[in-house]
Amino acid sequence: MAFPQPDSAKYVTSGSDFFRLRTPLSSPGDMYESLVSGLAMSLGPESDIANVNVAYFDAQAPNFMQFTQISQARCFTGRLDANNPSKYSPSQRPGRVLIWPDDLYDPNYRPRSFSALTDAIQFISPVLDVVQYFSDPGTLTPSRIDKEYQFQNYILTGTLYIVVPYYGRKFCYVNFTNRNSVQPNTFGILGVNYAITNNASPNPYHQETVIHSPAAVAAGAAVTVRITAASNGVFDALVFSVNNNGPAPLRIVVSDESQG
Amino acid sequence: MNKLPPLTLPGSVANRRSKIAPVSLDRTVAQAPTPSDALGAGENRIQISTYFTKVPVDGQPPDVLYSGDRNWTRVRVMLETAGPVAVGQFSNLFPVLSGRGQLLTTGVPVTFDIAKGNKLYIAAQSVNRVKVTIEPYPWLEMITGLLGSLVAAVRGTTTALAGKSGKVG
Repeated sequence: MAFPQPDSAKYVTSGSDFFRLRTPLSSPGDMYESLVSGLAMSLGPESDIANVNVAYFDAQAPNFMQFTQISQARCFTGRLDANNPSKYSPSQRPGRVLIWPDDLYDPNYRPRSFSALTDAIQFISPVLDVVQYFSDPGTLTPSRIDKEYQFQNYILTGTLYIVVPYYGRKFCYVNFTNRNSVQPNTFGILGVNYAITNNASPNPYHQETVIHSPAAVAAGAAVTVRITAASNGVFDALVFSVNNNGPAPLRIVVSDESQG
Repeated sequence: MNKLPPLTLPGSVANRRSKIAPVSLDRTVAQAPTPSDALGAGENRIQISTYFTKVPVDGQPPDVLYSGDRNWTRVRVMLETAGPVAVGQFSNLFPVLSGRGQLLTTGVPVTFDIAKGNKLYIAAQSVNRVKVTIEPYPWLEMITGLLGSLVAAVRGTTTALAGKSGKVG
């Protein structure tokens, strides 16, 4: 999480019309707050997280805390009250608008085939991007931007796994080209849905789906894979594996559009 | 060493005393202008500012948005953030949603005509941004001020005469 956490009150005093919470996640338990009320909540354009929980003060709700959820397909319009002088019950914590991802993220995830002795894993930290509007925005279109990731050279001894966030995305285009003029490069793609689990156990609960079985890509050869929600399913993250230093350009484009 | 006092001309800026209370330029600090004790025939200047509401402290009265130091004033306020923010002429505004004040609607300006001595209070539950314009009625301000001066002058003359007649008697 970003530290220090952005202060929503400063957005008010600096004349802004919205408070934007944009931060990479570092753990599954990250939770954020806004001190001021808003008239709408929406997912920001750069969010990797697709579903975000929002809690706000409501005197008629149990424990005075009311919940809603926003996503790339659904924003919330209407006043979400921070109500600082009142207190949630039974914690007696002051009123705030609380924001946290509903999607799971586990930086301790390791693929089933991962060897701690030789393999390495790199995570692209998912970004939480939420916009709280102070004035009525009229209409909201909470579309996320398409994201593009590019990799080229890899530092590894065994297999390197690259984990890319894919929450709620419906399409992914993958292009992998082995530019090593001599050696082949074994390239594979996994889809993973995180679970709340003990990663130290021999059988963690994370779900893995093989999208492209690891296979050697000859020197100069290329692999193109299109992942769609209709044919492959939906995943929290995509895991790409390579076993050669490269160069081997890997281009990944993820999108919310189903691309026909 | 110069012992002469600094030269100021009658009517110069140095001799004028504003009835508008000083306002801090620090925009990150919520503030309320303090009442001015200056009296005069009329004040025609407009006071334009942005007001930031504060999180209330238990037992504290709401902030004073306008302290009623002019003869007649039109106070225009517009909430720029989500609120809720209430304004009213009595200091018992809390809780904000109690109905004892008028809730401001985001983006909708509201105007109040306020006579001298009446205050405008503001109450909120969190930090909000409110545009404030305090403008006089030039003609009403002037007439009221002149009438006040006239009444004061007549009263002074009457008192003086009464004093003299008392001495004669």
